[in-house]
Amino acid sequence: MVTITEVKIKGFRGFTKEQGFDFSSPVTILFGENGKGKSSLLNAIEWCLFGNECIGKNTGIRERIDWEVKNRNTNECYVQVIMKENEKEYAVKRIWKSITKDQLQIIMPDGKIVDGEEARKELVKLTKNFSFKDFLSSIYQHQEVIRFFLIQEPKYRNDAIDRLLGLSEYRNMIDGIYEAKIKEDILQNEIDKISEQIKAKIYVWQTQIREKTEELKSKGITEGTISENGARDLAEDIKNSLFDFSQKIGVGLSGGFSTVDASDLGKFIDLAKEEITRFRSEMPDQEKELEIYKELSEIEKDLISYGNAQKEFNEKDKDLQEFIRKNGKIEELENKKTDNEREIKERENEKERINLLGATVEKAIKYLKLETVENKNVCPVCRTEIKGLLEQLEKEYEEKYKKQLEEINKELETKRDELKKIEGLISEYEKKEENRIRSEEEFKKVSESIKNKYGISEREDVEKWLDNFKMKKEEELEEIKKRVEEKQKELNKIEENIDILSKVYEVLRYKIQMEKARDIERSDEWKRLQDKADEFKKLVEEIKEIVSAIKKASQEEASDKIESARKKISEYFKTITKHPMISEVKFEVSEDPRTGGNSYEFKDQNRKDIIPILSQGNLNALALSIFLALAETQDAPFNFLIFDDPSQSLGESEKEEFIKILNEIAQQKNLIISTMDNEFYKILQDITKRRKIYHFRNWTPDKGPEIEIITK
Amino acid sequence: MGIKENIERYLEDDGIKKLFEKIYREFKEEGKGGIKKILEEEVRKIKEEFEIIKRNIEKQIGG
Repeated sequence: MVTITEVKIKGFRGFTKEQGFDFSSPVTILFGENGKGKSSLLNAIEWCLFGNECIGKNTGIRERIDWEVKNRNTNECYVQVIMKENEKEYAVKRIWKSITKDQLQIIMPDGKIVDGEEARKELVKLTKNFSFKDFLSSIYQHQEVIRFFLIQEPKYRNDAIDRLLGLSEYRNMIDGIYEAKIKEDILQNEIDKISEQIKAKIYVWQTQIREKTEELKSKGITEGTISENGARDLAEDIKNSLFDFSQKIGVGLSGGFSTVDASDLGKFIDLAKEEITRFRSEMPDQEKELEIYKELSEIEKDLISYGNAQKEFNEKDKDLQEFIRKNGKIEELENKKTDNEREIKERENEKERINLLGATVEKAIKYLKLETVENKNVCPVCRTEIKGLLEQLEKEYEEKYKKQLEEINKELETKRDELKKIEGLISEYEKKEENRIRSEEEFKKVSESIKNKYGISEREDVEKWLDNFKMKKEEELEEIKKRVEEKQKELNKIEENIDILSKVYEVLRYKIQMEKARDIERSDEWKRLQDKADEFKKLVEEIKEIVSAIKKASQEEASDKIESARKKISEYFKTITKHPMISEVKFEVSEDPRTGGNSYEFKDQNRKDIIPILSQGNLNALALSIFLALAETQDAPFNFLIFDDPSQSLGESEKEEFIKILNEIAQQKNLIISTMDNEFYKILQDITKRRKIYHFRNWTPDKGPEIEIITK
Repeated sequence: MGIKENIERYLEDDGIKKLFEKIYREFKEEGKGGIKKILEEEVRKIKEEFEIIKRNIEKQIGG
């Protein structure tokens, strides 16, 4: 039997610096309020023994789901548990490395240090393959786990009681077998699937054969052709046709096709198709056809450029003629300009004369108006005396010279406007004439170039010649087209035969594949596949028989153990609760018809189910009674029990009775009892002997738990 | 009587007893993970040979 004598903790959960605990006293009490580090100490023992097995939802403990092992304020985290078995000491140390990794190290009794896989095996040996769940059920009385089998679904209750009864090896074996997830018919199912696949394929091939045969027959292909010999004959025909065709167009057969064996149908068909494609693109007439297309395109282009040049010249010429018709020839315009210039000159002379005469009269008037001139009637030029000379001169100046000057100026303006207009027309004429000359030159150039290109004589009409030439080329093209079409038709016919041959080939291939597929299920290979599936089925049957044997043995052992613990459970329950309606608790096992595993029930003296009438306190008492009775009667590898807050919902007298029972057990096993219940703690102190108390007084994130040791 | 003998009392066939011995030995050595490992190995051996034959046959069907 293994017992714990000492625990050292550093950086685990609520702990920061290294702290040590002595568990060698028959009773060790951990007392203090919630959150002061008591549970961290108990958890440290579990973690050291079971590692990550005690973390996560598989533990069945809600608070373990997001558990952080390493304290956030420290860099180092380890737990060392000193265990003793037959006076031999083992120092088991687990060191935290990461969330998923830790290192296990054991100092063996001979001082040898083992770690890794070797340490794990040594620990399994030391703890007799005791799992974490076994530990929770029969060593570590965790309230949540105890209640688990009383108030949760029967399946979980049965699980937990199995473990309490020390049947976990049976259950673990079954779990291990189930975890391998061996499904009974997987191989046979796969064989069935392949068989289905073969049938499906055969169906598809049959359909294809039928459809293609019908298609071939609708094209007049006889049953005889849809055979190996028929296909070979057809291939020979195709080969001859392609040879004849190649002779006709003067393009030789390719080396590959010339030498291919007509009985190698797949290859023959591919090469024949290649020949068809090659003939279509290399046919000489086809090249000529392309050449004529190019020539026609060139003629069309020349016709367009000739027509455009001619049109341009005609337009410019027409424009000039239109101008002449409207404004006269250039000579006439030049004459008009000369006449106009002469008339302007004459008017300017006349204007000069009138200006001079007017100036003379104006000066005579000014003179006569002088005061020094006494006789205003004597002409200053000819000295002739004329009565009223000054008045007469003034009137004449106003009416004659001024008026004449105004008229001449007006005429001059008109004449100059006319001159400007004539000059504009002359300039416009010159431009139009220049345009005409240029377009005429361009037209001649285009015409010359086309004549030279095609060798057209000077006398011939270029446009007409080109139209004729084009017509001839079009006729030639039509001829070639007809020839090409005829050859393409010939090739189409050969190609049709190749298509037919392809379909015949497909039908023949499908027939071969279909036969092969039919043979598969009759082959030795198929038999070997079936043998393997049978071998697998036999293995599954054997495993089933083993599971059944494990269940039977487990049930038998459960019955024996219950029989031995039944009285104690009943006795403990009666002692703790003093329940007025229950004078006896009958704990029974039967086979679960759904799972084939063990199913447990609790009945009273009248064989009535007691669970529905129990209070929360009663349930806890029953849970404790079962735990105590079984812990007392079954073989666990550990010689200690852990109680975590066992007094919940119990009344004062129930607590007292429970502690009395603990005192009795402490004669055989060491007890580690954690509590926050003041009343329970007080009674514990009063009743228990040879105890060690760790009083968890305070807890701070930096320092961890502050503990006072009270020894008695 | 130990757990092994308890279970063996319910097994008649020698072949099954042999398989159980293998399972129990692994369980003692490695815990339930060992059982899983040995059974998976037994299955793997059969399945591997099965898969080789199956692939051959599938190739024939596919062709």
